Amino acid sequence: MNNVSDHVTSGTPLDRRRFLVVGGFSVAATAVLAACGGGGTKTRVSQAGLTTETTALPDRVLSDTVLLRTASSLERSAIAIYEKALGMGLLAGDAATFGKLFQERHRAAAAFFDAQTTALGGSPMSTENAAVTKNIVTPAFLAIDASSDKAGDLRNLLHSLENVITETYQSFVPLLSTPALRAAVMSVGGAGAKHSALWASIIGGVVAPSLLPVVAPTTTVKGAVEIVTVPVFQAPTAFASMGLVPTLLNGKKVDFDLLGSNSYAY
Amino acid sequence: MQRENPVATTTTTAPPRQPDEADVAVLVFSQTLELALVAVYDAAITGGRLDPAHAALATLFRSHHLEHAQAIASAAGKSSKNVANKAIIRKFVAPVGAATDQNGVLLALFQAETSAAATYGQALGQLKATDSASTVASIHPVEQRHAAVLARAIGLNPADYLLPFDGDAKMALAPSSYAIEG
Repeated sequence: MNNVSDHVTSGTPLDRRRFLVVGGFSVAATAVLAACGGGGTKTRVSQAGLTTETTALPDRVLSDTVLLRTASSLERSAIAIYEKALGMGLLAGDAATFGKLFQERHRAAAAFFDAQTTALGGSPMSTENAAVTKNIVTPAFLAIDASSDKAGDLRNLLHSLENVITETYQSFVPLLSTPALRAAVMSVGGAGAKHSALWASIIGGVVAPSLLPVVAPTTTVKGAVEIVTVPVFQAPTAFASMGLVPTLLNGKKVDFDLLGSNSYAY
Repeated sequence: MQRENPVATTTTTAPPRQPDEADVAVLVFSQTLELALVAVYDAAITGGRLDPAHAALATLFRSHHLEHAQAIASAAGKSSKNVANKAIIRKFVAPVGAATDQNGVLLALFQAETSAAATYGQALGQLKATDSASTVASIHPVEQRHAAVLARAIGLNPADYLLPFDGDAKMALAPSSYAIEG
């Protein structure tokens, strides 16, 4: 952060007179330091504190194969999440049917992306996505374990998972170099959108905000416990969005990030 | 020591952002598709077979298609025809008109949405410009959602309409078969 922005943001704009004072000091200080530097002698300036050793950042080249490997890892995370959800034995009726069917579709999608990666000369990513494990799977299942509505929270998680998948693939579209790869990725993304809509239908989400029933305005009672809700819609907007994916777990609203460059499988 | 790189490195040229003539042709066709879907929903809404809840649903989806048409027109620029594709209207309005009950109407709408989604899947495989592809990629999942909502309303078996990703490609509407008239 620099001085100018400090002053502007603090509401006291830097006027010309003060700018010259600051500028004049800087020039004088530079002259003093230059004088101290001496001519040809190279004495080390003493330094307080620890010096840190730096390591060069690894080469990270974003390519089609990186995105396809990321897609494979994301699908493997989805397979694992469905496996765990189905293994809990809490999904019944349509939820159980959807869970089994969607997991099967994610298995097919993982194999599809593996083949695409191989076709481009890369090695398919055979493990789950580490960022999804850290940021979604682990905290979500901890919250579900502690929840009084485990079955409801599982459905919320699976609905949000499908949104993360669809929107992540949508975010890949301008990054992929060929139309064929964009079509391939969105063929799976489109299936995820259907999965999301179907999860929303059994969570009880109406189709879209405009179809919500009109309710009378409520009065907030002081001291009342606030009930957190995260609206769920089957077809929420005219255009698919790409942003944080909110969900409700153990009575709290949680936002899941889409996979970004820090979460890719390089 | 050189680490093994699991990612193949390729020399690539950045794809264009702006549509060329071939891209514009895809966008122009897509806009006529969206306006045709608006007309198909108009037929469903005014046909008298839908109960108020499903008429409201149809009205909502109609509005989405109108917004899609506007967005695609913006992407296609001056080349936009701003007309509904009559051949596509004929294909889907006929079963809407022939439906004897609400489910029949919803089934015709489901088939129209499935075809639209498949058409956008094909379009994504043709569009070279990233801006145009991004626009289509924001519409494609919405058509899929519409199809899923309608399938659920009809009570179709999920295994029949949740085909493995490209399973509904044969439903795509080819511009050569649905030429823009007028």
